[in-house]
Amino acid sequence: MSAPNRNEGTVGQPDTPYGFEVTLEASADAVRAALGHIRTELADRGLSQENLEIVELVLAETLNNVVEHAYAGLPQAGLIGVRGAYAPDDLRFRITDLGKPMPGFTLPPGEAFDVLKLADELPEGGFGWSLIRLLSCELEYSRTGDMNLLALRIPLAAG
Amino acid sequence: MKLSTRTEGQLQIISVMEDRIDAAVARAFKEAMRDMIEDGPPVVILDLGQVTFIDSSGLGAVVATLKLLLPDRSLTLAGLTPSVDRVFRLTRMDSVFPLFPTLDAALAAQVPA
Repeated sequence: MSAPNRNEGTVGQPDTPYGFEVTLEASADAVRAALGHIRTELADRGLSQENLEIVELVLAETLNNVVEHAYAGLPQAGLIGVRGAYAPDDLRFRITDLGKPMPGFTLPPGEAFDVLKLADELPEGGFGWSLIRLLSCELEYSRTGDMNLLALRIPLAAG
Repeated sequence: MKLSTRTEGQLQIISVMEDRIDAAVARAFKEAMRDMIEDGPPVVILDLGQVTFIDSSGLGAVVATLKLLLPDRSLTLAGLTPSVDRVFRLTRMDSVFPLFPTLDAALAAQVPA
């Protein structure tokens, strides 16, 4: 899996690798709160506004997918684990859950949109995986026992 | 979901009075928009100037609003912050919606009645 290399420079100080971990309940409200928390963590590490926005979008899409698909229809909300590892020009996330596996045990394609479609046929969903694939790289999904693991890297834009 | 609306001749301007259109509020946004555009004028301008975050759920709700308006009415988006603008361009929805950086720019682009 490759993505456009937006890694044209490095983020400023500090230079030390840094990790963090968040566990949240699988709900849209909890996702919103977790995104705010992670955003604050990364802002404190000096990430640019643009990078903060990209990270928030990628994580929103991946976490909401878990809420809306992996844990869909289950009697009670499950948990989602997010582990982030940050180095100045490299940001990686590992997202785990105990919900249903991806259909076919593989990631959805996230196809490019055919905007020549008639307006009536415009999609109202399915944008999520396209955004994830456009903004991240080294995207890997695995299922081990009852656990889904999604690992990805977000190339940091200069600035 | 807080929205405000005003009508100026053939234009209806709807302003989103919240910072986020995300998965937590996408359904409420879609329903509020459906109610607001009922029996309105032909051109709807959605002012997103206060919105700093939209995700694919929010985007889907905006597309759903467009589909309610078509074929006789239109939806223009105004006041896109960089984060919101990025989502529309990456998903190529910039070829579906007229996008304007400010509400004033969107208003100026409307043909006088």
